[in-house]
Amino acid sequence: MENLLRVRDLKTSFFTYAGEVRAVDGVSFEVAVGEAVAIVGESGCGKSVTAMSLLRLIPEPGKVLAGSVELGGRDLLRLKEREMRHVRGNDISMVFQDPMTSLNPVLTIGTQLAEAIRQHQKVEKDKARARAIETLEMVKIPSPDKRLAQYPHQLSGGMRQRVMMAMALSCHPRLVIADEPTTSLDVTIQAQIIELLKEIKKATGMSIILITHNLGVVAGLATRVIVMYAGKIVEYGPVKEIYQIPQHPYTWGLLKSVPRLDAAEKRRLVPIYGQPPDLLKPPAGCRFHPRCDHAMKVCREKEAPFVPVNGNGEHRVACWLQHPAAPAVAGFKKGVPA
Amino acid sequence: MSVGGGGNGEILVRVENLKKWFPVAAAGLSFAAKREWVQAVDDVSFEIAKGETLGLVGESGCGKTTVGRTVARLYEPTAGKVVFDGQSIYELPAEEMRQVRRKIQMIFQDPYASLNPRMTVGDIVGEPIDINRLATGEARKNRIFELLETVGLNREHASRFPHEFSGGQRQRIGLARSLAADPSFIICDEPISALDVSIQAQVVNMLQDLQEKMGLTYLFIAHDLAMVKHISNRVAVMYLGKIVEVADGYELYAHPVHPYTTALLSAIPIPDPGVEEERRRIILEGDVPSPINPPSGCHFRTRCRLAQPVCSEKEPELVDRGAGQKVACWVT
Repeated sequence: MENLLRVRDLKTSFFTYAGEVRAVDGVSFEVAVGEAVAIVGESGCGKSVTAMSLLRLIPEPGKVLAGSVELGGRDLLRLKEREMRHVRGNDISMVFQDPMTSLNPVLTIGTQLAEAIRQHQKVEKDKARARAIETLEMVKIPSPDKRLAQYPHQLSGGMRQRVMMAMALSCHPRLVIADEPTTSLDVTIQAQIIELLKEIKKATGMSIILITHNLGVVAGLATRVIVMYAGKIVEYGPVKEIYQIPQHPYTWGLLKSVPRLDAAEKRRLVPIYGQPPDLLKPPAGCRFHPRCDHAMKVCREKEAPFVPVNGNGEHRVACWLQHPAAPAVAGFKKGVPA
Repeated sequence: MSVGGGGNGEILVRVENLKKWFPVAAAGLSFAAKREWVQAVDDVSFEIAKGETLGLVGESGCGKTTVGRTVARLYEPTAGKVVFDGQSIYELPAEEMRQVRRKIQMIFQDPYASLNPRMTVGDIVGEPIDINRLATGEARKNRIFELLETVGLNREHASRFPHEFSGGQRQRIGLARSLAADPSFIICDEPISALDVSIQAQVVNMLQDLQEKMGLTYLFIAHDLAMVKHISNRVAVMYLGKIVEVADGYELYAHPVHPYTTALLSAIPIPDPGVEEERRRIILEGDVPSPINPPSGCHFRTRCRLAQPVCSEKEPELVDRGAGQKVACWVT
């Protein structure tokens, strides 16, 4: 598959009074054309900061320190701000988590949509209006011409999220970053939005980066999964392998700590003990070692290399348990799918 | 139309035809405007046996939190009755209610907003002890230490303030506080929704351990049906102020009867790509109607794919369909 986006060794830090918080610390991945990649992890693991770094929207006191973000042969991190503005919306757009606060409460839906369109493309006002109606139809908002005159407070949460999606899609971007797009919505509305994302992806061939902590949503939408912990990628691979043969104890823990709706019997949940680390002073070695049941001496001292799990190298993990000298762990399948 | 308890256990909480309506200002400026009501909880009945966990699920605005708060008499009911341990609590005078409330405790959703930032953890946990005059001096201090240790914190934490703790630890503090007055019934209102997944499991396991050890009875309110099914003996599904179905959690998943339950179950994603590929979703159209003017008859009929004329004419009652499963639906 042809790559649309290639991120290499991205590092973003926040310089606070307490010191440097390394929110994203050396992250590399690719997104292919027409693919949906999910970034999963818990609060503060750096998944949103990664997304914001791609768009160069990191607020003070944060800074992208190193790395490259290549989109169609251009490194976005080296573009002038004026050029970057052209990339945002046209090439990459974003759907935010909270549709309540990301729409302007004093402007109508129509004004906000037309603003987004006219900001990025040179079109006349009435043309922008027609385009706005078109995009509202695309996200299946009933009677879109009437909606244009309405204000955000007149819409429900699900409808607002559709408007946000319409705005993100209005300039036909090649990549949409959806940052927890369904977290504040009810499950039946979440199902509507996920279904819609799938349909639009199929119809337009755009790529999606889905940021979420909901492993269920990922399973239904993504083709590849990136698992982040404390600013680093600990594992990535095709969605089926991540769920069937998770290799990192953290991924493993994430899957075991949530009950499955289709579980046939009660099984005690297996929590991950302790707390995620303070990124002002992350632990030495593997950052997950203080919470890991299988931590060895080497885990406390040296960071684990990112190694391929099977032959094709599509599934990789940073864990010392992959080392040939590491002891076998019960219930843990190392390497190639059985 | 009450909902029977699970197993042969003695009934601890019986809720009969509970209603809680909130007044809202009518639209417009007319003085003649009629007062309108948000019918947050509209004729809900259920029972919880001693030592049982009843899960209450539903989407935002369905009235599940209002049920919890009204059962604890934090809200005065509009109508209905709650019998707790043989006493009808809405008829009790203030002083006797205080005695009963000791036995009914609550854990709240937001671990940041539900602890006073200016009080030490020791005083937060000790407050129910003081209010109920359960212990003083050394005995009070020891009881606080004991409670903190029960929830997996330690005695050094007593002198610290809430901001020094993470979300999961704060939820433990809230739990220690709820246990301080030695309750028999705890209403858990979305106790884990604000927590990260790895921390959720810690709190849920602890709730289960405490139930086993102390014989507690829970009303577990949440929107996460997978988690509710995991922790509860029985699950009640609410929609727009009413219970539409109640059953054993596994039964409910295997044989949902009410069309809303079916849709709700099908909407919940399962963390398994193989399963997700095969699943067929029932996507509900539109949004939940306003509880100010709920639809006539069955409240769900406006979004129901099986709706018949009778659904708009008469309200269906919760009817026993065998094996403790009760459903309020004309069609299924």
